[in-house]
Amino acid sequence: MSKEPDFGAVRSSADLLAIARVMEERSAERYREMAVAFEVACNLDTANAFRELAEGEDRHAADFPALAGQPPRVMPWGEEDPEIADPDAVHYLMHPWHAFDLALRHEEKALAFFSVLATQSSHAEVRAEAARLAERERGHVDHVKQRLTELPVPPRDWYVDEDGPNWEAGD
Amino acid sequence: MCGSGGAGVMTAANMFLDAAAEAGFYALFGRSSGPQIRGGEAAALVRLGVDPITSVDDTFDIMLAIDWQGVQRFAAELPLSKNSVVICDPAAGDVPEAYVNSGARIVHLPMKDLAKAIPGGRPNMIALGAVAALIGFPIAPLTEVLGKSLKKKRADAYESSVAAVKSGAEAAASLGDVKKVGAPKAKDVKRWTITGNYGTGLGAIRGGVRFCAAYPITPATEVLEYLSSALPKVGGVFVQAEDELASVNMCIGASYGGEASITSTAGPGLSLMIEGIGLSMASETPVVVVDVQRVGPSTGIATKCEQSDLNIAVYGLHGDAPHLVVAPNSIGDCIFTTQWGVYLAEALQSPCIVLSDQALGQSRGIIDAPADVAFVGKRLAAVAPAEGEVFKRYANTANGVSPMPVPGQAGCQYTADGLEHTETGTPTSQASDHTLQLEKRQRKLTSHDYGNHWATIEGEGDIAVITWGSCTGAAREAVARARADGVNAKLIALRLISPIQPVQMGEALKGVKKILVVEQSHLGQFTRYLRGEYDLPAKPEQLSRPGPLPMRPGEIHARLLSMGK
Amino acid sequence: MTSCNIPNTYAAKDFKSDVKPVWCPGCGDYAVLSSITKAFADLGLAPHQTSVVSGIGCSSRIPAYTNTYGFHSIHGRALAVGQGLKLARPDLTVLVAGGDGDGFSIGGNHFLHACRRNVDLTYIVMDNRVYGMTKGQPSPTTESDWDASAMAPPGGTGMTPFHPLAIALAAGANFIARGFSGDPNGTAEIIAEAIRHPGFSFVAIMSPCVTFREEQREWKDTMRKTAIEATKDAAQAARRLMTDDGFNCGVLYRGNRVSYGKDKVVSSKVSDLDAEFTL
Repeated sequence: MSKEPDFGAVRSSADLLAIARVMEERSAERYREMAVAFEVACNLDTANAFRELAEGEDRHAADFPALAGQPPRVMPWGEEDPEIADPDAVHYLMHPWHAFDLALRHEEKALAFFSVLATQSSHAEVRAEAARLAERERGHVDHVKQRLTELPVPPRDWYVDEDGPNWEAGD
Repeated sequence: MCGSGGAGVMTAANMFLDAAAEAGFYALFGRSSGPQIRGGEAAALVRLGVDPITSVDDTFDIMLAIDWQGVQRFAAELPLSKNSVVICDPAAGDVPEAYVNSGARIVHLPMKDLAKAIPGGRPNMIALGAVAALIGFPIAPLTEVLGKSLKKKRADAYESSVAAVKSGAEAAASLGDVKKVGAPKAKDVKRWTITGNYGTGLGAIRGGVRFCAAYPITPATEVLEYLSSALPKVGGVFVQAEDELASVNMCIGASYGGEASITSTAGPGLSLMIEGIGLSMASETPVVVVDVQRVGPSTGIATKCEQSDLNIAVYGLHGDAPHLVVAPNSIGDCIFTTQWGVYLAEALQSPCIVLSDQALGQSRGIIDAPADVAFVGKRLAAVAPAEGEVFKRYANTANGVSPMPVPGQAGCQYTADGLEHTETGTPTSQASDHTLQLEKRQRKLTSHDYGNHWATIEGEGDIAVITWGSCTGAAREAVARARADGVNAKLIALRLISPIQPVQMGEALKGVKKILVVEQSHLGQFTRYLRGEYDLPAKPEQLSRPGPLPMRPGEIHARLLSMGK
Repeated sequence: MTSCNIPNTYAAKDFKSDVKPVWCPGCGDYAVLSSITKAFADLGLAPHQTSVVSGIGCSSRIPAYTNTYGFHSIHGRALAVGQGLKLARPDLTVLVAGGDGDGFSIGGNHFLHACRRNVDLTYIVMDNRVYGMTKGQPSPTTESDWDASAMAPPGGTGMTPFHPLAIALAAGANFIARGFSGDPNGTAEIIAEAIRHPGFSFVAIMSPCVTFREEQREWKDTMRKTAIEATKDAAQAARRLMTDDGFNCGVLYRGNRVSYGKDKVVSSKVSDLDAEFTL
């Protein structure tokens, strides 16, 4: 099982960049899974929102092309990737606004992760790189906040479904 | 030969059969016993002759009772006539009424006393010697068999048994005349001695089976007994499963892995396996299920024969689920039909139910050596598709058989599914996909050329006797007797029950004016099946009744004579 | 096969198929699928040498979502199919997966005997304590007083929940662990260890049903992700289970039983078998 975050695992700038890239890649993968799930659930607006988020993460991952070495075997985060959306946190009727709200929380976690590293790592090289990455994450956070202001805020009863669950799919 | 537990009637009968085989006779040996696991009454039912034997006779010539404990229970299974002889020990008490009423001649042989006179002597060996002498059976092969089975264990047991056999043979002189068996003919074919259930196991391995998972059940257990020892020798695997549900599904798993697989059961187990057979059918994962039929419904009479699982075997699956059902019609044919069933299942990627029955499965015969035929199961191999394309496990091919990869083969990964699926195996609820797959699965069975194995057809005549399974032997004998009486009939014993063969059946029935269906079922399941599935040229007469009593040639013969008038 | 370019190593995504899951958004099974594919990749397996076998239910849809040799069989019989496959093909990596109803109710007998038999495979049960595919009936692991669904009797079933880990231990499973879908990386590590461990490995994965058991979203906070310490001592494992509330995750037990089955050895030709019957 995963343990508490282990910042000691990051020993060099290259390590950190490889990790940052893995974070973005995994995040993209998870958003893409969400997009598919929402397509299957016929909630296309939210599916598109997750696809937009996935594409954003793809671009973030592409920021680190040449530096992508093998990440360290032990990841510095503990129980979960900070930038991976929690699959249990979604609802089939959720709106695009919810998707970006979820993304905001994870971008903020990622920001916190790099910020901690920027002050607490014992390697000067890592501290410096983490500070640069924290700055970059701050940009992602701002972007998601911006998107949230552009999207309609869901009504209070967004989760109400007058029909019961389907059993069409029952095996 | 009958007696209570400990009398050793089965041992004596098995030795007798070994000796008969040695001497060049043919024989059929069935058994009947009470429900007790140890002790209890038992009867060894032996028919001996110089020509091949595939049926019980109408009556027994000799009934040898070592004692009368519980033997009246078998009265209906031991028909005697006024030409029969009952040999019994005067010390065993009065002869039960049923046997007295048969009109048989009753003679006394003091088996216990004669045995006592020999140190270590046993009444069953006295009996064996007496019977051999009465029917003119040579003593030499008997003592030879005794030597083989006893000498290694205990020399004194051998000596005393030989002495007892000789004593019995001498005592037989006082018992009067009995029909003699005649001299065995020269062997032009090698002989085998085997039970139907062992034959089924052997046929399975010949057909390519290398995996068996099964749960014990009477009267199918000997199939497992054989496979559990024989399969490992040829690199196969035998598993005793926790129940029949596990049995059939383990077989399906093994088959998915590329191994031809078999399980064996009887009616109650078949009921449990039906859902799994449906999975095999829908996912096109071949599996062979042997049902050694016994008297049903429910637990029924577990140790006796009946042909009443036809309906569940053919129609028991839910949904439109065509599949293979084959039935052996003699002990030797258990080998061929099971082998063929494996071959068909593998070639057509279908479940195949082999409907054997207790009379075939648990009887031991001396038979002509079966031919070693070339049917070995082989599946249509798969080729990986071009990169980027999805492998079509359920491809809609012309003959309906789709290439089937073996796990481990790169590029052909697929998910086998009992859900209706597309050609790639993806679940679907679309009408067009369902229709396409239904037609494909049916087409692969109906377009296959089953050759002339679909039935055993013998003789010509304007009467056709249509039968199956263990009734075939009795029907064959009846047809021969009727021919001697000037009534010509043709025997058609169906081996391929499903899918039906309408063209071949039409050919076989050309010129036939009357049909007699012979089967062992109270409801007449086989008659109903024939009338429902085939366009018969005439409404068939029906000779059907339930187990446990076997169909005997005489009753079929009598019906043929009345039909031939 | 010439058209197939087989790489030496595979990433988790190479173990996923293009088939879109029918699971509800938010279902824990998505994460379990990711954990399984990650474990396969981490172990250096190849999709064509790996097999995922299931029964019937929401989670049992999983084989089609992988790019392995899959078998979506019938309700309750996944373990039978999986054991048959592994015994016939010991060279394959066989993973059997399904839900709590499939594994512990209709398939309960096979679960017991699979633990006893100890065939070298891994069995994953995605436990959400409810029948999802049939609209929310209580399952063997449902709390006895749960009655929040129209399909549950008022006041609950009154039946004691099945304790999969305790039963697995009592029946002889050789590796026993509990994971949580909310911890996909940790769960992937457990699955990888389960696959490596010889014999029958059982991994219960708490995987919430957000549709019929909305309250299970709280598992995120209640699951103790590294609470169990592994032992080789079955008695100690049993003592730990006495105080287990179902929320402790980790590897509980690593046994050292020898896997079921013998190596296949051919000692006779098929024609040699005739001798027994020939006179």
